[in-house]
Amino acid sequence: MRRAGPLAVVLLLLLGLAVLVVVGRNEGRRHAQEENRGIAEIRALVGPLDSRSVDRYRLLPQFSCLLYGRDDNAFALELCVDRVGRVVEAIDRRNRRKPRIYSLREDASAATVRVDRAEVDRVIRKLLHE
Amino acid sequence: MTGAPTADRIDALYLRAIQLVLVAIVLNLAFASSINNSFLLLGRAFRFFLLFELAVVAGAYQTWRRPRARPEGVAFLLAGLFAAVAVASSFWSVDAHRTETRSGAFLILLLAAAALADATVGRPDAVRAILAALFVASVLVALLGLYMLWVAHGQAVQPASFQYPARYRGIGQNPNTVPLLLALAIPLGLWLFETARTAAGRVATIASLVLLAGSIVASGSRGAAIAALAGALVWALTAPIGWRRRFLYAAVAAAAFVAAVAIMQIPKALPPSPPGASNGPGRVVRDAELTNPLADEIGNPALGSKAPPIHRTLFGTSGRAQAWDAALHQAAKRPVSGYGFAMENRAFVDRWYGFDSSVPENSYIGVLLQLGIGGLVVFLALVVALAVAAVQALRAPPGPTRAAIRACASVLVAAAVLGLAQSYLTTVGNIASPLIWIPALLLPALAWDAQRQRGQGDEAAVDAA
Repeated sequence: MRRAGPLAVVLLLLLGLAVLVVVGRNEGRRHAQEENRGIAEIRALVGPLDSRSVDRYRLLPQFSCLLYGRDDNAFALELCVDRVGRVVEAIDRRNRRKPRIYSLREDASAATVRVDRAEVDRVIRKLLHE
Repeated sequence: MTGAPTADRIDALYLRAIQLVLVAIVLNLAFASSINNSFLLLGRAFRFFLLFELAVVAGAYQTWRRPRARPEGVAFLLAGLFAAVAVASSFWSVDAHRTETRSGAFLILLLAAAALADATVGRPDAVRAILAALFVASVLVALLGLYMLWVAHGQAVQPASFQYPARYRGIGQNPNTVPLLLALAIPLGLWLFETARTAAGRVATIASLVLLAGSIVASGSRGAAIAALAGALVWALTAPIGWRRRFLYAAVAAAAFVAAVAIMQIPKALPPSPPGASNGPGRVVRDAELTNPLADEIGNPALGSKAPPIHRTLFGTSGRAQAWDAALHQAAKRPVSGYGFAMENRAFVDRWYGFDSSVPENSYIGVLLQLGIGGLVVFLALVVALAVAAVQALRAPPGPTRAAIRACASVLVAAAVLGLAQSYLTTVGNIASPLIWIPALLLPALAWDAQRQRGQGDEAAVDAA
């Protein structure tokens, strides 16, 4: 009987850890869905990757970005694409005081919005030569 | 009759081996956090190997000692539970492999610390040997900083910028790296000074303390200075002397702190460049990272932000307040379980002008990001359990055990205070990790032993009556 107490505590802790695992995986899935939804929305706002509004680029070790102008804001919309074409970050700066940022930098494998990476490279090359 | 001296020699040999491994670990972690590439490569190659070696030596020592009574306490259980949550987080981590390796390393560090606590229970001299090794290692790191200053001034001193004055960083990657270690070592130095058996020992310890304090002041690391003060105050206010002398010691510590802060204010940041001085030709720069870097996107006055320019003050946050706010918002996206152990620098993205770090620079917010509210609750419960153990243990009668308890408690208070301004408490590869977790787990063992001794004393008194 004296051993039942510690055993119950251990079982309770294991159960707690199991619940945490389920909650953790669920939270991760939900977070990725929300970020992907925002990224998809900004991707739709951009339109074609090589549209006339593409104005700037950004080259970083993790990803490359294309920036699109709207009205007088040359940095209004930004899409950041990793080496295999996953859009891992998207920023909407049309409201300069409160930009909307959607990012899956920490877990690029969860990014579901994709673009043609070769097309991104082609647009960046074009901007580089302007 | 011959057994006891042999056993003493073996015990001394074990303790010497543990001391050597501890010094090697701290030096290696300092190399792994160095600005110098040669040191960096050396440190990164061996840091986890040495940690494993510590666990093996500590485990062997514990097995050899076979303590008849095992220290117990809620703190040990909570430390184990926190490590279990860290390991389990690899199931939901954004990088399972990294979480597995880092949580495994953290578990090994805790096991080594627990083995040392178990093996040294009831033996304050053995505790002193372990903590003295950590202090000596910290002094060696500070001396290596001076060596770096001598051979590579440009690496040892971070040049002044428009926001910050020139700051001494020694062998550290940035000016805050090494002071993390030195701030926690200062209470240990005070303890060794108080309990030094020779005049030479006292002189060496006071010279070491001056070196540690001087390195912190030269680095301009305000968090480390405040943490060192907190540790010194706990040390002074728990001394087994009258309250008048305690307050006198505390006043000396406070005066040293005020002097340190005054010296820190002397170096100045570069004056702002006159408007238009750096303007180039009117050509459009297509690389947005040159004009609007992502890391400075929010609050950059050059990009039209109305945020006031950042000035460093003693209790100013240097942009941390905004970073903490952002980290809390990021944590709210995975609130219960977080992004996984060791994922703090992946989940946090620095987008704030005036803030320059890959982590939010607050250990508690860092734990929230890594393990969510679930992990933070366990972590805070562990901190509270350690604090309760310390308060209970400080009722022990004056003597070597109580002195060791005071030293460990002072280190823990300094570590907890520094955790408010630095992300490091759960980072096992951090330069200060052995100096946090070894005293942290020695403390409940010392508390348990002090309570046991009190119990035995009470029983003896009853028997005598």
